This record gives sequence, structure tokens and C-alpha cells, in this order.
Amino acid sequence: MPRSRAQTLAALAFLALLAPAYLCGAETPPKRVLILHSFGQQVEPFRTVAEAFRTELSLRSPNPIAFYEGSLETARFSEGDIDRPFADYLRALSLNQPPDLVVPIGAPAFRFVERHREDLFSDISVLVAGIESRHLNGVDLGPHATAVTFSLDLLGFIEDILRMLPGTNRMSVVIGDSPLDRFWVEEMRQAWQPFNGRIEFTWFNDLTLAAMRQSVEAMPPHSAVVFALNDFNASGLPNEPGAVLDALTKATNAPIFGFFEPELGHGVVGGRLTDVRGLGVRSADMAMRILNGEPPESIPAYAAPPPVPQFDWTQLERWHIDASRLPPDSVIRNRQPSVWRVYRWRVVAAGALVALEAMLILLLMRNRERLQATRADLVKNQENVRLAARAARLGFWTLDLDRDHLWITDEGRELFGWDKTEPLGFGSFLATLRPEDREPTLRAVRRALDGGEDFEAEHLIVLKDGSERWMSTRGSAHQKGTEQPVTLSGVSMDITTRKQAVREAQDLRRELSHSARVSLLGQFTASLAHELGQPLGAIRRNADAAELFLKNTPPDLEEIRAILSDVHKDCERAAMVIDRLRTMLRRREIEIQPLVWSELVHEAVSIVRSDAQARGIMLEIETPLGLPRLMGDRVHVQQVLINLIANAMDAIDEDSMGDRRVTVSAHTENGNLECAVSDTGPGIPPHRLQAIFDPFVTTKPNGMGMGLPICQTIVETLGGRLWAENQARHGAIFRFSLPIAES
Amino acid sequence: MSQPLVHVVDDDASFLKALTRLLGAAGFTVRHYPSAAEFLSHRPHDTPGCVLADLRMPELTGLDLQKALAESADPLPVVFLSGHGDIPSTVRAMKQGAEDFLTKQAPKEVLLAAVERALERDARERLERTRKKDLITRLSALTLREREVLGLVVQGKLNKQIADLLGIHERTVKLHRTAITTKLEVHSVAELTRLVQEAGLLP
Repeated sequence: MPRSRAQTLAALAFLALLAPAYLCGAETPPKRVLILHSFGQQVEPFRTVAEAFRTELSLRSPNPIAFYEGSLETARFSEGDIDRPFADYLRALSLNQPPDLVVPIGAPAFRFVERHREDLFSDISVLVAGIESRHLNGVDLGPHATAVTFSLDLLGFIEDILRMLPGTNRMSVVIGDSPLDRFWVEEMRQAWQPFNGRIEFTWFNDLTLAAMRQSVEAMPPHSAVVFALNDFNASGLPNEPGAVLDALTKATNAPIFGFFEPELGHGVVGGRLTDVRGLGVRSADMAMRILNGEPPESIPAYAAPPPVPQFDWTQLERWHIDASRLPPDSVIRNRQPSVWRVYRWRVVAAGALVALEAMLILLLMRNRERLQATRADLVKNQENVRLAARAARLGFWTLDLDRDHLWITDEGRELFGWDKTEPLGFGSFLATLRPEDREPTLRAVRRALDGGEDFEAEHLIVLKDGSERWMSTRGSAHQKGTEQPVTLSGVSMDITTRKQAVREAQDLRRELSHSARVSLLGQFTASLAHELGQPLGAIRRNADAAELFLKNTPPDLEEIRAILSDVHKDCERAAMVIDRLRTMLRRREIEIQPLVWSELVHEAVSIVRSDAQARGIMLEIETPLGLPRLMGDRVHVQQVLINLIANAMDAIDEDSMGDRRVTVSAHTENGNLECAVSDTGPGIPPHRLQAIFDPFVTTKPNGMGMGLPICQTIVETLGGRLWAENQARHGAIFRFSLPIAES
Repeated sequence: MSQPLVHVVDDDASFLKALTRLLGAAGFTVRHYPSAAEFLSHRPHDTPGCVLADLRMPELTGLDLQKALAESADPLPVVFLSGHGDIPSTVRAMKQGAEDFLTKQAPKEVLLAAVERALERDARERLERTRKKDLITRLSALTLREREVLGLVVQGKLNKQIADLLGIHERTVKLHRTAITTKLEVHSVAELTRLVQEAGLLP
């Protein structure tokens, strides 16, 4: 059965391949070349040799060439009688028209030709294309024949593997069971004798593909696979180029080494791979010469040079083989960077595109993140605003005038003392105001509506329970187009604590200025005693006189009446001094009113006059005529004046250079009344002109350093300014300005 | 001798008027002035009296007044009046020879007594001043040589010694002494020495 099947196959293959070859025919009869394959046409490495040969010969020949191909399918099983039917066919073919050249590829084909030299190819030229040199050892090629040979370096093969993977101690040889395979098993055993003991060889020649796959799947460490199979699997499945190698490559856990270049890229690591294509090309070269009439025996056989070591980069990577361990002059194929070299611009473009897309994606993601963050911020902000509004006691509101609807936050309702659900309108707001505040508030709102501008008001509200609360309300009117504004919106804030703080500060300031006044007047007790002593003395003397007059007979009533009148006057005078003193010493609110400068000065000076006299200091009052009235608080302005005069006199006592004089003057300046107190003392060091207004800065042994700061506070409270200068010659001059009263 | 005048000086018109009124009622002849300057320029000269002055006055104070008065040829005792007494002024006033220092509200009796005392002192000092003036007039009648002799006489020198010192005859010395006693209207050397001392001619 196997026999008849093989014959049929061979015949079918032959006939099938004859048909396309005829198509190449032309007027001149084409040269006929019979290619004899050792196994099948698709079996490597012979397939590549034949293909290269055909292609090269077709390209080089000026005339068309008719190729006939036949495969010795039988060579797989045995040699000898089994090839007779195939020989018969060939003979039948040759009788009709014998081929010009017979090209056996591989040892089995060559043997077939050798066997049938007499009966089939007696006068026909023979070119053996691609035969391992071992097969020709002691063999005569015969007449009209030449050959292209190659040599497998079996010893070097193992040495190379050990060089790359020094620890390798186990090798499985994938090989078939044909006569050729058996030949090679024997050759290898012989050649690898030196490695016995170091390497354990396992031969897969009797295994099915499945068994081989299982074996290579479970290779122990430090193993290697030697791929020496002509591309058939032992179980005889239909041959597909590279099928066995590919299957093993997928399964193996050890590196695979092979012998022929076509295997590179199909899973072998590499090695000294025979350039089978080169054999085909060289054969075509020689065939051309034979077809051109050169006798084959005159052409010496060609032996291919030892192959260059070649390796597959991906396999080197896979098995972690360091490139430095490769044989010298090795060529690495399939290197990844070559992709870069080949597809440089496409890679660049693709890379750019990828980068662009990545950027776009990144941007979108960032955007999305930002959006989310913004949304989170917004929520947080809302929460913050709510918290801040609560903490600051703020109420936001909007008033729709068309519908008379007041919207206000819960905090706002709380501030105004409204229930959470109570419907509100403008009237609700007005109702919280004190009756006297309603009209001015209405006016302010109306002004804001008319002008479309902002308004701001501080107002007291009366809550339902009768308690009072100070509020600050700010708002603005919103227009719809050019129409009259229809909504007002704004914010109301509880400023009760601020108002209280302001009041407390005012109280404190009043207290401070009061105690400063008391201590100031304390400096003038002697002076005041004198002021009071004058009228009291006069009263006493008048009383004494009256007594004497009463003793006269008759009493001088006229004189006594005059005396009584004078006593009255002096009593009033004394009372005035005491009044003035009491006013100065009293705690009081600031009361701003129009004041006449000369009166102010006169009263102030009356307190210090006597002291000045005692200290031998001249007090000059310069009052220009027609001076307008000023706005201020009588006592406080006098306090400032007395303080400045007292300071001036102290300065004179320090050093006066003989001239002891204090001048109090006033004039109008830029719509203010500018008052000046100058002295003939030593003046103020320029660097201290500012510092003297700081609290606790003093040059006096008993001074507190509070006089000038308090004076400054008083003047500023009255809307003026107080400062110090030095006079051109000597002495200091203190100036303060106060607003002029509107006439 | 004319009636003594009590000068009242005060810048406070009301007090000035009341005091003038009281002193008038008490029988004094009173002149009043609103300031020290006014008093110094308008007071009558060679008239006995005293001054009641406010210590604190603008421009010229009581102390200034006292000083100016003391330096004049016709001084008057000063009684100071003050709304209230302050020690430094008081001490200064008394050092400068103030007759008294009173507060303006001092009892009437104290005030009037002070005025009396001041007037008495003025009278006494005035007499003294007159005597001295008279003496100086008489001394000025002596010749140069007579003054030389007088100087040596009051030093207790004998006629013989004086004659030797001046290089003149002892009898001439006697003649000079007679002329001196005649011109000065003295009768003894003791009286002569006292006079010369009073006139301030002797150290």
C-alpha cells in the first residue's frame, strides 16, 4: 500500500508541474532543465536551493527555459527498487524529448541520477546543486557532471553552542528516520564523540511531532535543541514549510540551533547557517555555462565557503545570550532597532501622533480634573461663604420691587428677627427701623433707585422682643435694560459689637483726656489759687472797709452800697473761676459748636497767667481782627491750648537765652483756623519732631509723656491736625488746625 | 512834714479798689496804681509813705518794683501782698528788705498794723536820711586841708603828730581844728567822730 501511494503521488506531482512549464515556450525551442528533488519540492533546505536556482537561471538565460521538476518522494523511506516507477516515467518523458540538463538537489536525488546514469541520463549533462561534501567522499561524479557542494561543520556547531551557553550539558537532536537522516545521525554521533560525558545527546529520530513537542516543552535547565530535520515530521503529516520548526519553537523551553539559513527567523537561535540560496545562485551560474555548450566535466566542482555565523536577535534576547559570547564576526539579524531604521519616518510620525493624542488625552484629563476641582471648590466655597456669613453675622438679600418680595438668607432672617417662613417685603424691613430712621432710609433707597447707584447705611433696628441691634446695610440697584431698576440686592451685617467697641474706645478716650486734663490743671494749682485769691481778697477788703464805714456816724450808706455792689461782682468773678475749673475737671461728652477764638484763649490763659507771671514768662496773645469762628469743643480746645502753653513754659525754663516769652496766635489757612503756640526755649531736636507725639515719650523728669499724644487725639477727633516745628531762630512752635464754622 | 501817703499797686482793679477803700476808711491817704511802672513814674517825691504792692504782676512784678525803689534816691518801705504765699518769692522779697509779706486775705488788723509799721519805718529812715544829707552838706563846706586834718583827728592822732604828718606847724593844726568844729557845729572829738561815722566817711 505505501508503495503504490508513493508512486501515484510522484506521478501526480510530476504531471502537475509540467503543465505551467510549457507556458514559457516560444518560437525557439526552450532549453529543458529537469530538477530532481530529493524528497518533495517544499522540503527545506532543498526548496530554497531550487527556487534560487530557477529564478536565477530564468533571469540570466536569454532564451526561455522549460523547467521539469520531479520529487523522489520515496527517498524518505528507502532507496533502491522503490524508485523504478519514477524512473520509468522519466524515461518515457526523455524518449520524447530528453532534457538538456539534469539538476539533482540533495544526496538522494544525486544517488538516483547515479543509479540511472545508463538507462536514463547517459548523454545528458548533470549538475548536482547543493550536496553535502560528505556524500561525495570517494564518489565519482561520472561523465558530463559537475557539482556545487557545501560542508556542515558538526564539531564547530557544538563548540559554538558551548561558547554561547557554557553550562549546556544536554542536547536533544530533532531528526527524522529516513535513510538520509540515519546517515546524519551516524555522522553526528561520530563527530560529537569528543563531547560524550560532557553533553548527553538525545535523538528524536523515532518520535512523533507531538512527542517531540512534549519533550522540548519539559527540557531541564542547561539544555539545547539541535534542529537537524529535513522539514517533515516523522508521523508523515502533510508538509508545510517550517511547520515542525514553528511548532517546536512555540513549545520549547530551551534554545534551538539549526544548520540552514532559511530556519533563521523561524525560531532557531542561529549559528554557522549554510547559505542555501547562495548554492542555488551558484548552481544557476554553472547551469548557464553548461547550457551555453560548455562541457560539465570541464567545470570544476564548486565548494561553498564556510558560512558566516548568523543569529536571530529576538532569540538571543529570549534565551538571554550575551552578544559578546557570539563567535567572532557574527551577524545579528532581526535586531529590533532595525525597525527604527526601516520605519524611521513612519515611527516618527506615529510617535508624534501618539504624543499628540497623549497630550490631548492629558489635556482633556487635566481639564476634567480641573472641572471636578472647580466644582469641588465651588461647593466648598459655597459652604465657606455660608460659614463666613454665619460667623460675620451677614445676611444676603434681594428685594424685588415689582412683586414687593424680599428674599433673604436664613442668617439674615435671624439678624432681623424674622421667622424662617414669614413672607417678607420692603415693608417688613421698614418696620424694623425706629420711626425716626424710616424717612431717611427711604430717601437713601430712593436715591439708589433713581441713580442706579450703590447705597450704604448704618441703622439701628428694633427686634420683636424690643432689643436693639446696629446693622450696616449695603446694596445696589439692578436695572433691566434701560428701565427703572426693579431689584435691589445687598448684604446686611450686624455691627453691634463694632458700635460697642467704638463707643468703648470713645469712652476710653474721654476718660484719658479727662485724666490728662485733671493732671494738667494740677500743674496750675498755684496759678488757680491766685486767680481765686484775687476776688476773695477784694471781697474781704471791701467787707473790712464796710465795717469801718458803718462805725461812722452817720454811716456812709452810699459808700457801703458801692462796696456791696463790688462784692457781688467779685463773688461772680470767683464763681466764674470755680465754674471754669469745674468744667475743665468734669467728665464730659465732646460737644462740637462754633467757638470764638479770643474767648477761648482768654479763658485758657486765665488759668496759666498767674503761673507765667510767677515764672517771669511773658504770655503774648495775638488775635487778628475778623477771625472767623471755629468748630470745636470748648473744653477740649482749651485743654490743648493749656497743655501747649505749659509745655512751652517748661521749655523756656530749660533754656531761654534771656528772652522768656510764649506767643499764642491764630490765622486762617486753607479754610481752617490754624493756631500756633510758640516759645523761646531751646526747640526740639529735628529727629524727635515726630516722636514727641508718641505715648510715654517725655523729656520731663515727672512727665508721663501722655500730654501731646492726647492733644493730638483730641485735635484729630475734632477733625484737625496737630504738629510741631522749630522756629527759624530759636524755640519750638506747635500748630494745630481746626475747621472753621460755616457763617 | 506833709501827710504820709500809702501807695497801693495791683494789676487787679477790683482788689486795688477794695484795698484803697479800706485804707481810706482807716484814715490813710491812699494813692493807687494799676502797675509798677505807673507807680514808679507817677509817685510824688520827697513824700513820706509806704507801698503796698501785689507780688505777681505782668511785666514789672512786685519784686522788680522793690528793687527799682531801693535803688532810687527816695526809697519807700514795701509791703507785699499775694493771692497766696509762695516760699521762693517770699524769701527773695524779705532778703531785699521788704517791710512785710501778707496774703491778700490777711486780717484787717494785721494789714493796717503792717501799714503803720511801714510808715513809722519810713519816717525814721527819712529823718536819718535828712541828718546825713545835712552832715554831708556841712562836711562839704570844709577845705581840702581841713578834711585831711579831720581824717587824722578821727583816727585819734595828736596835734603834734598831725603837724608832723602834714609838714605844717602845730599851731596851724589847732586853727584847722577850730575851723572844723565851728563849721560842723560840734563841741567834742567824740561827737566829731560819731558824725563822720554817720556820714559814712569812715570805714
